[in-house]
Amino acid sequence: MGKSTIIPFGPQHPVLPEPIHLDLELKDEKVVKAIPSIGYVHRGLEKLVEKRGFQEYVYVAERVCGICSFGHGWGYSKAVEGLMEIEIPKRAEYLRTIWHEISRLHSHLLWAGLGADALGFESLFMQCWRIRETILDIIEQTTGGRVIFSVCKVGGVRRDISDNDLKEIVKRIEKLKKEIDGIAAIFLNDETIHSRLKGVGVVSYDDIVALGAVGPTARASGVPQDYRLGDEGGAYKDLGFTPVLATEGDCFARAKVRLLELYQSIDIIKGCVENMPAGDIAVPVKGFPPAAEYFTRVEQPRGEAVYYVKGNKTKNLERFRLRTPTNANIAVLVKMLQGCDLADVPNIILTIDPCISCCER
Amino acid sequence: MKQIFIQTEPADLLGKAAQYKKDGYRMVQILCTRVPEGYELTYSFDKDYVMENLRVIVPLDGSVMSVTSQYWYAFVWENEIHDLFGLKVEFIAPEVDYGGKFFQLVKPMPWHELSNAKQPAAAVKVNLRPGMGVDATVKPAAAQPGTAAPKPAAPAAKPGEGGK
Repeated sequence: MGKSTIIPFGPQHPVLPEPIHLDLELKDEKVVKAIPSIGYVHRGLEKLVEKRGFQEYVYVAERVCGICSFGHGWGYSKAVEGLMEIEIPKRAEYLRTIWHEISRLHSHLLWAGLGADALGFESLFMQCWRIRETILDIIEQTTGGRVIFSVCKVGGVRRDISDNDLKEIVKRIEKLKKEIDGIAAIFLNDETIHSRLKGVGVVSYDDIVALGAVGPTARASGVPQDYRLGDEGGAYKDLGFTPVLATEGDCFARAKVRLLELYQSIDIIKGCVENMPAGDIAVPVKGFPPAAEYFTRVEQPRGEAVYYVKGNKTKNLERFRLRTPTNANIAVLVKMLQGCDLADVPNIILTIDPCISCCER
Repeated sequence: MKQIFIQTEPADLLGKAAQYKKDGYRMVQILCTRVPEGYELTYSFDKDYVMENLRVIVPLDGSVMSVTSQYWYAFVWENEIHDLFGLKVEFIAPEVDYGGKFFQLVKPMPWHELSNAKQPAAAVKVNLRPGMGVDATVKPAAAQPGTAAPKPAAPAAKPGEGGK
């Protein structure tokens, strides 16, 4: 065994779309310890809630992250609605669910592309992002934006989707299924991908529970932790929901769960369209948030996100807090990296699908 | 979503966290808020999608015991609270106590100051090019020898104009 060496990994690294720094303590090629440090994209967005009206802040919440932006807008709106005891129309809940699942498709396809690129599959990367373009087109068609939706508001949603457009969306995502089959077949059957991902970064069911991991990272180790199971908002309770699980707990299982969740999201969108209630899409919001506090949660593409708001009878909230899924998955990442080969570090980091902008806010 | 807040003394925190762990709860997050009394900490625990929150008030010059002995992964939030708010968290598991180096920030403890949320929303100071931003002020640059005098700058927006 050689002497230990510290290798700095990030904040700028080819596999990292966003900056996180890790000091990797190595003995020969094995990582003994990983010390994370973040803050490179810390913008103090939680603090900004003190200077923006509670209705305006939805736009800031959406800008916490460009990948799960809709979910953040939804989570914040849901928290304020809970604080002010506002009940939103059923149609708004269904529309939010559709946009949220479209967001999940966009996020997982983006991840699949980045994963393929990191594994050296450049053509696969291009195919994943080509399919994602259709999703972005749907987002643009229904919201006017491609990254930031700006359709969620306290009290409901800003835009409706006509029945014809809903049918059109279903047709387009149905076609996507066949294209997803193509990329999933490569991810799930290619020998090179198997050898790079199988048995790498393994976390057992017990370790996931002990480390408090969330999202596909937890579900890939067999932990059925998905807030869509307990969500009182959205359409999940009406439609019924069973999380996608795997049991291997390695990088391959995490990739598999995300790919299978693509099909699940398509089915949820179809379910929402088939059962879409008629009626209003928003209720008027009067007055200011009371001097009270409220917690709520949303299952983001990367896992459970927790939203907290505290009002003080003024137009500004006193506190907004967002605990993002990547924030909860840093602990499991630190554990996974201990004992792995240096060459596997990029794959392990990528398969928790880190979103550093979310993590730092 | 049912909201459960349980007021707790700092001395009882570790015992209660141990009880939650024994009862099979997952720790969800730790929230810190600056309040006039010091720091308001909220420890959230989840079981079957129902969340219970322990509420602890720590004086400004006080410290709080780490819960990493019960929930190791709480080190992420404890380091974050230390770096952003300046609250001392005692006995974080030594291998994950980053000693103020978890968040790489230009300004240390940026959220240590008490919130002024009850004040009317002020225009945000935007440090952009002269003439841009809701309250950007423009100072005419001193004329350099051999160059033409600078054009008068556009007037800054009045408070309440152009911004939210």
